[in-house]
Amino acid sequence: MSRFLFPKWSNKVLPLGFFFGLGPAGTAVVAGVWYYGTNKHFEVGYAPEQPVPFSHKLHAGDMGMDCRYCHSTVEKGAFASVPPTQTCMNCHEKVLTTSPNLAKVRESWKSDVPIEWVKVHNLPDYAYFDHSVHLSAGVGCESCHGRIDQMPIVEQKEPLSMGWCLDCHRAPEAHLRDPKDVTKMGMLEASQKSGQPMARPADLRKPVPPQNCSGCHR
Amino acid sequence: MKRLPLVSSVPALGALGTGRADAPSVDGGRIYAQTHGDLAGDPRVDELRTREFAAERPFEPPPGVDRRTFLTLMGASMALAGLATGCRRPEEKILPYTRRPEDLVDGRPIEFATSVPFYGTALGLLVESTDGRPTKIEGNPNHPDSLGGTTALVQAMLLDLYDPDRSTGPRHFVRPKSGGEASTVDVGHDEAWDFLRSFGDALKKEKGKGFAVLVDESRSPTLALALDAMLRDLPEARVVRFEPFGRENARTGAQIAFGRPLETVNDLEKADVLLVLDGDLFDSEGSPVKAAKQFARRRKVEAGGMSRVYVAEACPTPTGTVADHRLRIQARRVLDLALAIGVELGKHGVAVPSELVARQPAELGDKQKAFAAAVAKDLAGAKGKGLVVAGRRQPPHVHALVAALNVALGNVGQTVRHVPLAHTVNEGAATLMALVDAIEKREITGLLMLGGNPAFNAPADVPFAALLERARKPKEASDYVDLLSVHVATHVDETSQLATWHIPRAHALESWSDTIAEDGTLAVTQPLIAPLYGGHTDAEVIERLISGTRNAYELVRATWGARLGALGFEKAWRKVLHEGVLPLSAAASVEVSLDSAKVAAAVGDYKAPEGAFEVVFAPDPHAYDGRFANNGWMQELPDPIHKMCWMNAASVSAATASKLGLKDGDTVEVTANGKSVKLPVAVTYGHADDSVTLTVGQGRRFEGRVCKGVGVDTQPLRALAGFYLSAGNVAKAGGFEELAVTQGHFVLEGRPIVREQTTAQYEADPKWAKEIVQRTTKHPALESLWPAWDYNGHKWGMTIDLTLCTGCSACVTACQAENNIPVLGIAGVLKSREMHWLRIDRYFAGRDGMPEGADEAMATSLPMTCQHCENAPCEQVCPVAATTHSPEGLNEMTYNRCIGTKYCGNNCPYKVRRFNYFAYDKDVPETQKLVFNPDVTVRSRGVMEKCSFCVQRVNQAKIAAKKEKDEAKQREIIRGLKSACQQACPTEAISFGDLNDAEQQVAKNAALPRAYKALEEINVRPRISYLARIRNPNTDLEPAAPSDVKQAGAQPGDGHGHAHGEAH
Repeated sequence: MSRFLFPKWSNKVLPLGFFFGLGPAGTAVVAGVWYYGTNKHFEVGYAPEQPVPFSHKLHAGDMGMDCRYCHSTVEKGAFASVPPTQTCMNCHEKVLTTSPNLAKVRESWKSDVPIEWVKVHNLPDYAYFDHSVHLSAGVGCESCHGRIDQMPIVEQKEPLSMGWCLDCHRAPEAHLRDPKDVTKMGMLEASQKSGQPMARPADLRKPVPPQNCSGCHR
Repeated sequence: MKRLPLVSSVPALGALGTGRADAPSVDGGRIYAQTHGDLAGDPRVDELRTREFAAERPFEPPPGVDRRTFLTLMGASMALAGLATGCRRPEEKILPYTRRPEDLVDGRPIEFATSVPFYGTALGLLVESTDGRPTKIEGNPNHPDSLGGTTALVQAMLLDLYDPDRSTGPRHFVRPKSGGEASTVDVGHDEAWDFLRSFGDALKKEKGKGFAVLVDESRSPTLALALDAMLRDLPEARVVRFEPFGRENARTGAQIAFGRPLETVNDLEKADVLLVLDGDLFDSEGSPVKAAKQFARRRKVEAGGMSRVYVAEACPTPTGTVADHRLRIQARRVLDLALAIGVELGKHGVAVPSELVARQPAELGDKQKAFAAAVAKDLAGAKGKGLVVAGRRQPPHVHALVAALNVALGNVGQTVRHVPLAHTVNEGAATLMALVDAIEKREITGLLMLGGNPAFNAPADVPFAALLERARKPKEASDYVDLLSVHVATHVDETSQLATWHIPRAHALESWSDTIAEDGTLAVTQPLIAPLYGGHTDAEVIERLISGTRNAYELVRATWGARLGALGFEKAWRKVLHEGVLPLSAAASVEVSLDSAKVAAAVGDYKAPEGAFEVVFAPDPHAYDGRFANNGWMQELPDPIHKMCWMNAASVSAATASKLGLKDGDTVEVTANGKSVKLPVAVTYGHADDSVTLTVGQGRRFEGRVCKGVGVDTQPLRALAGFYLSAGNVAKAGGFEELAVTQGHFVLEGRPIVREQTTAQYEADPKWAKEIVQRTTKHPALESLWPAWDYNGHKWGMTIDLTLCTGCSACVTACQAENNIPVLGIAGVLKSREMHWLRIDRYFAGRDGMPEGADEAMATSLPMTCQHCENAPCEQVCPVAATTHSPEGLNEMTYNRCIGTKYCGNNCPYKVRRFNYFAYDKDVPETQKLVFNPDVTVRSRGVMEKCSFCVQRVNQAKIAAKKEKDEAKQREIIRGLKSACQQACPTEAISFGDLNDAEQQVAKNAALPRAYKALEEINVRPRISYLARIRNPNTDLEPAAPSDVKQAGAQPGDGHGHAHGEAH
């Protein structure tokens, strides 16, 4: 009968090859993906190219525009909302009306077709995040989005992983400030350097961030 | 197979008498068993009990592949998949507005008030609009016919808006003049408008001679004005109305009694005694939400002044379910019952005109006579505070007699009043016959049909569909009929397929229109979205016909401009749009005087249909008259009585079924008016004997993806003479079709899930419902392995009052709409995989002795949902912690963690966890994706889901409260929180909220002595309390409380309940 028999050399080679070669190599690959394939390493630094070269450094930084001028629904609803073309045209109908950088904006305004921005800070669909309640508690924009006022192109600075969210939810004091100052940039760094928490009125309600699943998962 | 005892296999509990002759009498209350399989000892029930997740056959691998190859292929494809997708995450785009509408906050819904015509009245709605499209319908608390509630059909209207089978544009049937094939051509809206205008111009030349408009009950004053304007231009035209289930009998009854057709408006809240004669007031006729709300307000047990409700009906309905006394009687004998009551009233000094009760009623059974006597005595004792109501299907003779009884009892002006009709039009099935005759005689050559589906719903002997077909034949054909027909409808349905022109109609949620309720209250219909397919409203079509140029918006504003006056119109108009109703616009009552001679003549003329069986026609609980047949939510919604879905069946009583040798699913042939249909039979406990109820609306010929091939069209039996009520025969035909019934999927072994007491019993022993299990089993309190939670913040809980639940299932549909629950189809339901998070279980109780067998069983509906147990068995067994407990008491479900072991579902004692066996979200048509609530995850294959206590609403309320600085406002926000089921319920049976807030209704309810928890003996500590059903029976008909109140199992030394806590 023709039964398959392993050749004699496989007695040594196969176990040795596995335990000293394939095994450690495979484990290293798995461990590497497990550790480095997380938000902290993958998502941080994501800075996709946008259809319009909008510079937050220019508008929010140098010109000092408040975040909420454009992201106007951030205190009212769950989404901060990329502004409609109308918001851009509020100024750019009169300012830099022929700039090639704004060609797509003018075209969108004329044709009534939205500009297709690329989403930078993306949470999975099963996680329901609400901006407005964070702002009312006094979490600053820069706590999650970094120093936007220094970014010519928006880059994701924080991992936005569930563990990262929970770290703050379990100990929010370091990130809480006076709700009036949520859009002020630089306060967080100053607070971390000095070791002092940010200024905050004492009579505000004590935030109770949910740590249970249904706080974000519906 | 062991015969299942009526109640339980635990002897002590089984002794809680519920109708077994050997059981002791009711001992302070009544316990209910579950399916009628329980009652009948059906061996299939035992089988079903053990198989929650069972499949019919074990899993079979796909054919042509052996296991080894299958695994190899799977492994290889998995490895390749990793390479293919790459490491970069896919780009997601954000598309903002170019010009954002004012006040719109992305993702946050806005509510708009609107109204829809239905049930012969109008219902006010608050529709939630998310990102510019409607996603949820709620009742408008400001509208008197809604008072904040809805019915299941009203909830389902939302899905109809997004029906992918809707008509997408006008169509025209063309027969080329030069000969050649006739064809149906899709045309543009402009072409359709051009046609209408030219058609109208041609009609104007003839002053409208030969033209007729067929309308449905659209309740629109703007349409009424448009039709009046049309009749000024076309004075020879005629307008007729046809509704398959309309109010014409009631209106004709009022004409007989009072000299002109009037609308009868009931106020159940003022009624101490209510008698309903064969009408489903709380679910499918009249103004059901208003009636249910009013009824509920008089059933507050603790507040006192509980009303007494008598229902006499042929087929069980949700209304009969909540009655204190229910009599089963053939629908054709209701007149005799009313006469008997009239005679009895005379004995109690009520001035019933003698000629009215001169006619000898036919012989009534003993039960019926006793019922009549008791009812009469009660009504006589509540003069001016009682109410008699006749159901829609009863002939005008009965309505007239009932009107006379109400007059004699002094109820008119108190609990019932009469108002003028909103729009007087020739209506009824007979007018359809007259129309067809006129068309055949060439008196009518042009027909405009606004809504409705007469080719499907016309009486069987009115050859409407045939007529439309004949109009499509070549002119030379012998049976050609000269008719140009135009049908305005949302779908290319049976009528539109045969009409010459089809024009798409705007759905109610995309229309500018207005409505008038049965009592005259005016409301505006405002669109939630621009017409998806360019549909038009009825008024717009009439306007175009007479060469007007106004669109629907301008037409409605013109109507309201006239009504509100020019001064301050804009402000008043905006206020009406905001409130959803014009306050105090109800019509004033009409003074009526009874013409008892006419009523007596009518009563004398009445001839009950003669035949071995009576055949009763009811609107299908899924499809209504057919208009909802293509609605997946409604087809899958188990109907309140049979718990059947995706089909229709003939309902007969258990006695009749056993006489004919029938069991559930057997095919029967029902014959009436010379025609017969074959359909399966459903054995219905509580149905009248020798009577069969057929539901109308299934068996559509329209090939919608939902309704295709579903059910049997019973309308061939529905002739003009017996349009609601006929006589015929029922015979067993060979054949069997398994009934898709959801009840009986999970048999709860007769444990005391539903508990009921009479008012006297409740007064004597208020804690009976709460303590009955403890008293009878003497279980030592079970201990938990885990420490109890401290709920110091919010403590979410719910109470469900079984006294009020009619089983109408509005809550089930509301939950389905709110939580994106998928529709499976009949195959899924037959495998007991239906996905409803909230289900209504229907339980039967026996009566002492049960002399007539289970037909006398009373039914109760119990809404069953995730109980959010504090000691949840499901949480304890999830291997991946996908279901956890929140600090406020919610049992959370995290879909992305779930790996689908189904262990939690196995452990759930209530069987409320639903598993996604397939990716039910995969094949949803694009338009139907718009109906999803964006605040709730749409689940895919392999995850468990269950009621979340509307966690999205809870979280939204908490977020809103957190943003609020004022503590009083915070409390108000939390107190205003309502779960979807609570908000929809027409009787407000469900209360949801914070148990730690003593002011909330739920906390007050949970503290009541009659609040109990289902299956409390297993110590899962559910958060849902059920309030025992309290009935207010008439002691003439049954004893208030038996004199010997036995506490079964209370004797010392009983086998159960050792002090040491041994397992029994």
